[in-house]
Amino acid sequence: MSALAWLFGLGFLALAGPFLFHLIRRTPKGEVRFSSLMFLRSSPPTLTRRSRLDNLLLMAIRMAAVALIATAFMRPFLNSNVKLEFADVPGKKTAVLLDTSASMKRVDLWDQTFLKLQQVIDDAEANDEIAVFTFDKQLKKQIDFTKKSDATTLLQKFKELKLEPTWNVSKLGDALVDVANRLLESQQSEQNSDTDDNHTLPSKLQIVLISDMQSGSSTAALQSFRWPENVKVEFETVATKRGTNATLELLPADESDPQQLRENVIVRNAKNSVSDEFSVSWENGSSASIPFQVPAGSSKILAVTRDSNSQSSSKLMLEGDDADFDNQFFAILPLKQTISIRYVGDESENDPEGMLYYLKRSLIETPTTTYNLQQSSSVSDPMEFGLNFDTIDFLVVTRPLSGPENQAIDNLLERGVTLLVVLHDQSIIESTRDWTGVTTTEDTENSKSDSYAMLGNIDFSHPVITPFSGPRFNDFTQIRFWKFLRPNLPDNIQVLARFDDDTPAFWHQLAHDKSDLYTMGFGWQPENSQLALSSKFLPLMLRMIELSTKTGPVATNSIVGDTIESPKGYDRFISPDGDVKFIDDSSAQTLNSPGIYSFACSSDSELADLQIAVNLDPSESQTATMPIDQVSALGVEVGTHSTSDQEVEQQRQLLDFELENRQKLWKWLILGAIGMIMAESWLAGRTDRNNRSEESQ
Amino acid sequence: MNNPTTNPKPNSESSTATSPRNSYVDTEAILKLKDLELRAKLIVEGFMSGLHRSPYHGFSVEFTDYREYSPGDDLRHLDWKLLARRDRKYIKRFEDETNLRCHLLVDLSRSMSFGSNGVEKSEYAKTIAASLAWFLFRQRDAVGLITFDEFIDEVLPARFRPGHLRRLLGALERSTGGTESNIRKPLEQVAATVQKRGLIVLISDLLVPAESITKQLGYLRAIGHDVVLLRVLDPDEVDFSFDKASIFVDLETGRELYVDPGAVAKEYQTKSNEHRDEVKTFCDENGIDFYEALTSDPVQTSLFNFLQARSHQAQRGQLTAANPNQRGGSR
Repeated sequence: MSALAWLFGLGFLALAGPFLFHLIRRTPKGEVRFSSLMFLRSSPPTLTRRSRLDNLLLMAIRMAAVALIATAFMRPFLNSNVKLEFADVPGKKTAVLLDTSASMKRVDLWDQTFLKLQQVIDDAEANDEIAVFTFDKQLKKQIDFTKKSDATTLLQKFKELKLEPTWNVSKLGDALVDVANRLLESQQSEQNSDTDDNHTLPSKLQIVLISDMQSGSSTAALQSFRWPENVKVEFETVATKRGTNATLELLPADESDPQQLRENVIVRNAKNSVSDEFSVSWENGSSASIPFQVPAGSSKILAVTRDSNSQSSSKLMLEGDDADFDNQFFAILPLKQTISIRYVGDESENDPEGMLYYLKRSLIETPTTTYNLQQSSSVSDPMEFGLNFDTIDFLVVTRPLSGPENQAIDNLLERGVTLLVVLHDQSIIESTRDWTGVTTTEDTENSKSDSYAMLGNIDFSHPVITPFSGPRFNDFTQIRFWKFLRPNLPDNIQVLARFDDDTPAFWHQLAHDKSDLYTMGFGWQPENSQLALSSKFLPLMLRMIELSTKTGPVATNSIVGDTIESPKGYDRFISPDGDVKFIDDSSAQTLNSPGIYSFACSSDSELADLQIAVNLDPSESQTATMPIDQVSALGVEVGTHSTSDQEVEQQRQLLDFELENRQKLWKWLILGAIGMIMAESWLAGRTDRNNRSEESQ
Repeated sequence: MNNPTTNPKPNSESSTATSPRNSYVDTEAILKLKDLELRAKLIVEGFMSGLHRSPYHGFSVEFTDYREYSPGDDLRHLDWKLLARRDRKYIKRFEDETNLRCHLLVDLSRSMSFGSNGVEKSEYAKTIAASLAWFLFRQRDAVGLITFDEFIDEVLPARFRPGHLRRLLGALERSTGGTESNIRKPLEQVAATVQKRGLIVLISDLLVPAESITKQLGYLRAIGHDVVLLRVLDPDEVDFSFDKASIFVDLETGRELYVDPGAVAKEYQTKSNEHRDEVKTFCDENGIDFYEALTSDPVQTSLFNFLQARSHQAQRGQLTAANPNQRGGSR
């Protein structure tokens, strides 16, 4: 026998009521009117033994009625033999998700993380399973699902892994989505593996996120993810009282200041910072850094001047906050490059009717790039001509070549120098036939002055033309061509542009399998075409020159976690900590920590080292704590599943409720109480009548 | 009137046996008469017929006083004969028209409606008042009446003129009981309205705290009135001879009290006696005559007691006659 509402058992206290009422002697009915009570005092009746309890049967009936009502309210039921065990309820699959992003390097957050993990393992119940995942920019499973009984093994494994926070950015949203999917998969595979006769209830899926919940962490992935209802996330936030954090970033250099002595730095102070006084200086700088103030949650731009000691320094340092992990910014000085261009042609550089005039003016120097344009006219000594070609990067041929010149250029092509041949005249074809691939030509000149050709079929997929592929730049119809060759080309030549009558205008070949060789079937001087006067000329030339340099376009400023392709010609990759890695040309390198990485070439001493400055992701410095509501607003089910003990209790209550609902003993008890009340009424009436008749007698 | 209580009738034999005049008039029979005038007449005449010698004969004898004339005195009162005879100016002072001004103050509060032997205290008090009025009227004294409960009910100034007695008896008959008794008010009223010194007879059960009336009584005495307290009590109020525990209901306030008589009778009597002694002591100290009458006593006894008191007062008055202020009271 059991009851649903034991609290109503307090109703049994009401049994004292009838007992007390039977003890109390009723006050006499007799009433005496008296002139004044001023000399009287109340004298309560004294209880005599005889009057202590009378009408015992009546009292018993009344007490029985009260007891029945109280019992009915307790909703009693007869227990069944079914007993719930701890093993009858499903265990919990808990994925502990540890944040290993760079912001976790602050103070003692990682130690706190370990303690929290330990706490989670301690709190787990016997039938729970725990797995450990870490995340920064991507999720990693560190320890697979382990039973609570193997908790010590799990901790041991974790210690052996010797995990530390990385320098990577935190992508909380991606990690949560990934873990939730993995939990669902593991639950699915568990159910699939269950045999029919051993069917168990599905496990409860729980994620315990141990993180500093920095506001810079990305949650974008959650927006497009429908969070599964049966996966709950418990947030265990680690925090430090020393919350002041500022970060710095060097702004892009001002091109109008070629000296680069003053560089602008932006310093951002986190929202939760306490202190607002910082100082910034270059590494090895001799002058004392000047303190400045940045209020919490705002930023400030200030100029940092290099002195003689820090002229070549690449590390900018911030002081004054509690978290050191983002207090450096690496910036390498721009690599100054001089590109040697040799123009093989006879025009004067001041002749606006010639091509050199326009080529010279298209070479606009930048702080990082200077051009060295030299002309080789036909009067030069052929022997000198060859000697002067030693350091050439880009060669333009616009005149017929002599035999030795031809040989010298061929040597250059073997070394990988890029060659541009401009066939603006029939005379050039013969001496350059080996390179241009032109076998024969048709009408060499468009005699009619009013007829012209336009570029019709352009291959925008070629690296030289690719910059023009955008809709704003791909209109070449404004450029008219009056004089051009009509070459017959072999089929294997890649034509980059054709005129509207399908005549090849611009084509590309590889000489000696390594040198780029471009040929134009027209000249860009105004007499032949409008190309030199059009907006396309300058980018086209610079693009060819840019592609001719060996290093190629490698980003010199990167973020931790980026992957870069190894540039051609380099065989060593040197990390900031000095580790040297030998690389192939095609391999991709991941940048794991902030600092200066460099590519070096041991075989080619002329090839300068290529440096890459790698910095922390700026979002990682936003260390103000993200409110959990922000995550739950994206649909994440925040909370914990009930423990197995609670589950057993809930199941038991449900079972009891069903039993009671089926038995409905309370109805019989109420019926009994009504019977008792009726009997009491009858008995009390009879007793009263007897008393009255006795009194009247 | 039937007694509303279910109490056994108190034993009143002892009180009736001591009555000096019960041989002449059957009090119980008289009180059964509805006509108050008839009651008074029977009592007084029965009483008078039993008197051999009135010790109070001539208590209203005239007394003339002279005093020397002073300028401003009313010349009408100048004794011209004496002036003619002796050539001296004397003012002749006259007694009032009547010898005595008596004010009867009758308490008709609800506590006075208590009566255990078929006689309510209020009826008994009215009878005494009527008898006194009749008696005094026969002596050509002026009689006034104030009946009261918590408020003053009827007020008749003291007069001696034809028809006044009838009006007075009529007013007494009309008066019905109120609720609480507030003795202080009628006493204040008398003190405020009755300028001439006279006799004030307060007929009440005095079931109020003694201190609530002493101030007013003392004041009345101080301004020269003679005061007689006639306390009317039921024998049950004196003996408290109930035997069954009951709810006792206060007639005035309606307050209920569970009382076991066996347990409280002694205490009741002690407190009652203390209260009586307190009033008595005060009266003795202030020259107030205090008498008690049980409703079981013949009315004549009360009348006798009253006259006896008057004789004592007369003697006292003669002793204090030297004091002109006391003259009004020394009739």
